[in-house]
Amino acid sequence: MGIRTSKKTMVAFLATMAVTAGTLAGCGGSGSASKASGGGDNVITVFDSEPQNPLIPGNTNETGGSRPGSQIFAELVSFDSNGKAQNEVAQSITPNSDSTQYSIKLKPGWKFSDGTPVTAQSFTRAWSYVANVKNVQKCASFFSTIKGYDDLQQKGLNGTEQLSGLKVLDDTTFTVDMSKPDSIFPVKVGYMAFAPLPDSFYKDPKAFGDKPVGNGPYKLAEWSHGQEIRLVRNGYYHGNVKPRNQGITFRIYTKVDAAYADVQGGNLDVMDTVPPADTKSFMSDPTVVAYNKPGSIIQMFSIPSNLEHFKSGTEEGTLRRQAVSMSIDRKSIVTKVLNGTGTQPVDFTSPKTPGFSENLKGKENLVYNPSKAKELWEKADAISKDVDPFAISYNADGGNKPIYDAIVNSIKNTLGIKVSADPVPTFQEFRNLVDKRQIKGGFRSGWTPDYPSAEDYLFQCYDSEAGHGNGANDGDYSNSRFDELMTQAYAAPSTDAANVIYGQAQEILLNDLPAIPLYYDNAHGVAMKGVKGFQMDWQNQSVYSELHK
Amino acid sequence: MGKYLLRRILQMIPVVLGTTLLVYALVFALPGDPVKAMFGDKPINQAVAAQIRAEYNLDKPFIIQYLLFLKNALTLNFGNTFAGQPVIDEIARAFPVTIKLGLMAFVFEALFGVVFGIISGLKKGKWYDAVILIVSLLLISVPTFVTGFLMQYFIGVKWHLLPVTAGNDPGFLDLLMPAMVLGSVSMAYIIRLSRSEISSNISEDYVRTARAKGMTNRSVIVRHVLRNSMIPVITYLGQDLGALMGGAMISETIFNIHGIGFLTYQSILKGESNMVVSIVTLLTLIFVVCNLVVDMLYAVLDPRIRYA
Amino acid sequence: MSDKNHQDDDMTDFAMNETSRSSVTSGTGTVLPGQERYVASLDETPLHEVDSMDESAPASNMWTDAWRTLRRNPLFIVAGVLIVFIVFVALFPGVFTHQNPNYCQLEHSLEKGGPGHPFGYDTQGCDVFTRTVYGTRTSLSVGLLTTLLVVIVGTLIGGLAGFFGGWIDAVLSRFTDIFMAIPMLLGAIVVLQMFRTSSSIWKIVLVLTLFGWTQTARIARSSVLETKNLEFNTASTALGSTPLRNLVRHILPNSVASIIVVGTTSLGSYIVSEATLSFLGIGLPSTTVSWGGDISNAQAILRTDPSVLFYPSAALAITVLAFIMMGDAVKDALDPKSRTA
Repeated sequence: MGIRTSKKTMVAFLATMAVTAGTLAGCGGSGSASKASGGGDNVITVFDSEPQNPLIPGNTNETGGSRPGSQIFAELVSFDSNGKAQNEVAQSITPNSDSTQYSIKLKPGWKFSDGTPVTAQSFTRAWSYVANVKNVQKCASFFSTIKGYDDLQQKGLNGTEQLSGLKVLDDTTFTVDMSKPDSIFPVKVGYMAFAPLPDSFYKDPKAFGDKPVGNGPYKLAEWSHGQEIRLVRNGYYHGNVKPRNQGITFRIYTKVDAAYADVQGGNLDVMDTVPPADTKSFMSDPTVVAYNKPGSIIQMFSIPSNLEHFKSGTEEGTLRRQAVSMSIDRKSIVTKVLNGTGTQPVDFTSPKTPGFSENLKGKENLVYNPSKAKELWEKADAISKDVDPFAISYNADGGNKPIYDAIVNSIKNTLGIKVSADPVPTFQEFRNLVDKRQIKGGFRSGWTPDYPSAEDYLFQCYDSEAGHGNGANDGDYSNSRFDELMTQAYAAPSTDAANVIYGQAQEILLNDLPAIPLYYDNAHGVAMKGVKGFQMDWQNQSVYSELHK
Repeated sequence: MGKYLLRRILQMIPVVLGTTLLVYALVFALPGDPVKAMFGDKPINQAVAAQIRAEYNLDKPFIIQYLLFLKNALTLNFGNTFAGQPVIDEIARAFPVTIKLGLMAFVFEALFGVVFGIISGLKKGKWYDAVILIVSLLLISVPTFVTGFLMQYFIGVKWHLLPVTAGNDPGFLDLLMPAMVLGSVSMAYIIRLSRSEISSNISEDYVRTARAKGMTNRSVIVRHVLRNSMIPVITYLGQDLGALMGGAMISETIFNIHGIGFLTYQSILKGESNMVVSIVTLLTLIFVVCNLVVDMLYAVLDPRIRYA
Repeated sequence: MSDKNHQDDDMTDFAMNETSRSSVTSGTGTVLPGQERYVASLDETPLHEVDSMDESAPASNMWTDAWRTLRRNPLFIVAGVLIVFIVFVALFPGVFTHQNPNYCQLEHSLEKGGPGHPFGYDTQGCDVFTRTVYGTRTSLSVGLLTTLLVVIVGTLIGGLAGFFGGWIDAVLSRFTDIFMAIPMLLGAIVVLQMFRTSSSIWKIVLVLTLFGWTQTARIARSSVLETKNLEFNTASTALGSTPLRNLVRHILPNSVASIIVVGTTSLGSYIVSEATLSFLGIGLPSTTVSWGGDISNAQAILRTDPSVLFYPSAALAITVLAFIMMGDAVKDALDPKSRTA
């Protein structure tokens, strides 16, 4: 029996250590801008996991693919490390008065790494391809505000149909008609799914996914599956990014711990994450250079809006939600369990989001306050009793156990009620339960932004249009005042004006608590001693172009 | 013997079929929906999800899916992974590494396990017998991942004696530490097994007889005691070889080895039925062949066991 | 076993009588003076009946013999005391600590040991001593029950296959092959989802047994194969014993030694496997305290706070050790061949 079990134990134990679906990030992101110039004659090796999809921009929706992908492709705008949008391929993006039509002018002279020019059509064809359901691209929904999107979601398409809202005027100009106002569009287009594609793509998309050709600061030299993805400088690129190295090699790791050991042992230059086992020591580890600053990912758990005794919009439900939120000692969890790789939240977006405010009304609901929590819970009990034991589900294959054990203990100790953590073995089962609305209690939710805008966090997760399977509002939260503000923000004359409205919308969330914010994931990672220019961008990814030796 | 061999080879067919069916059924029964997981925490585009399901036959009833898999497998087409890679390519990439690692671990555990087991068994009660026993007990009762992490930290990171991780296209030295971690538990079992077999065989009548006939102690031990004691040890090793080929999940992850074990694990979590069934089929073949070889070895080692 | 030896003894006795008698008779005629042999008269030394037995002595069998040997074995005494203690802790954890193992406060996270908390605290701020004490029951039950079931199922299937041979062996062995090939993770997730709401340890025992019996089966089969062809078995058949009686009376007792070795050593690995399953979220809920669960939780802080991992691991190691020693002692006692050693 012995060996048999031990070997099988091994099979089972993987979860402990694997680089798993913990945080499946949003669809990529564009290269980061930097003012620095010059370059080294050196190649930097960085951490990555095997991309889960072929490297096609519209089909890349997780970090394994977006790390290299973001370096191979350049979009209309790029974001600096604080998430501020700057024109990249675009010369100008001009909205009409109510943000229902955009006129886009490209800078001249852009070329793909195969030497073919980047034209207006390179964008419109690529966008239509991704939006067309026949082509099975996971990022299709990002084009949903463009006119003609719904026509491309029907059965019986052949895959070449174009979005009717896109009109090419000449080689460097095209217009975009929106089906409804979208003031965020000029930011959205910096997302990787909006990258242009060369003509060679359409001949054989499958082969392209294995050896993509883009217009970004780097081009693919070689992809040895399961081993490494080698990028070299793209000579045709002349955008915002000024690489300070000759190339980046993405090493494929199956486990972050192994990568960390490699950084310590001088085998790997940079990784933009730290294994849980090393979070306690990496800041003071003399063998590495550490980075740890508040980042853009927010971790929460949602409470379904129709959960008995927690119904949103009812007095009892709101009291209980606030009581639960105030009974979680986030400060201790961040310092003791996350060892400082997280930051206590004050809102529903992140400190890296443009328009972020630390002073929203209701942020005290996210602060540990045991006496107030108890008081609110008792008030709720006065309205209705016999509350079932509260359970919070999470997927067990993403290293979430210590965090959820701590949350549950904190609620239990503060409120003196029965609370349990309810792990679901695999991410796919967890997502299925969430999607089918079968979880009777809280459930883990996290949001990795696709592009730096409060809209990405708020509309997708809390607008009633995004509920009931049409978005990521998995708790089916619905508040008409909130929805109204979202619509207003879309029609706002500028992104700054929109951000003010998003602040007001968040104050509603801070009272209603459709989800309980837990912490912001810090952008944290390590570099080998001697590697210079190690910093991380608004997406919690390393700024690859800045790295040099 | 020839007839027996033929029969055993024919028997492999139902085993392989039975295993694929069972495993396919298990993957089918896995709770959840792999396609939904592909969208991460992001909204699921139901139209795109439906297309993906159709592409991978996930929308068809179980038995149809299985038969389609079998049909394609006969033409050596094992399908694609959800990432669009041919299953066969991924296996072909992972398997050589696993074989290398597995064989090294096998040699390690067989060599040290048997040698220490013999020393221990022949010198029962001596101090080194006690040391060997205690070490083997520790190896059994401390989980492998603990042993692995400690070895990696001290031998690799702190003392720089061996490479920290194996990485791409690993060589002998890269795999040495992982192989030791991988083989350690089995080595402990083999030590115990050989020790107990030897100490019980050494007081058998035939040993007394051989000694009485004037055989030297050395040839008594080599020709009689060892030969008889090795039967259960070989059974053990035979199965272990099969298990080792199944991949060394822990060693592979700790030392970043892209082998079969990790591939299997990931595929199970992601619900990649084609991948899981293909790997398991391959492993079943290996198991069955190992077992056959072990059974053949019995007959060689112990003439009393005969196959008709 | 006992039968076999008995028989052997009879045979040798008989042979010796023959030779001595013949030498005596053949020698009488040629005795030289001074070389006469003294033969006591029958009055002085009465002739005993051949094969006489002391009927007043209590009946002896394999088990009573084994027990007699065991009592004198220090290994058995040490192992026995340890096991009794471990079982006591498992039954009455409250005697050793008055704290609630599930009351954890983050403010104590990873504090070192102090009065009342000799082992310190884990990441969650739970008292490690209390959790180690309370974990005994879960871990021990999982280990023992699984071992028991695995040995029963494995021995039954392996024993039958080895004993009957032929098509029964073929079918059972191939059945074993199929089960060996299934990755436990896969099977465990599927089986355990049927019992997701249950917090009983039986679901864990079931899964571990389901995917654990194959090893024992193969060991049992090879052991039975080996024993089946031994002389005493042939002799027993010659004496009219039925095959089934042979299996139960002779073959199984002779195969039991190697099964015990495997059983007792794998006990520990079952306890560890339980940890794995809990960690994957398909095992016991985290409110059920177990060593395995605590070990897997502590694995993440192995390098910075090894002591949190140390205590449950040590408890596990001591338990495994106790059972292995017990297994060795019992095996020695059941196996007369190795008694001399």
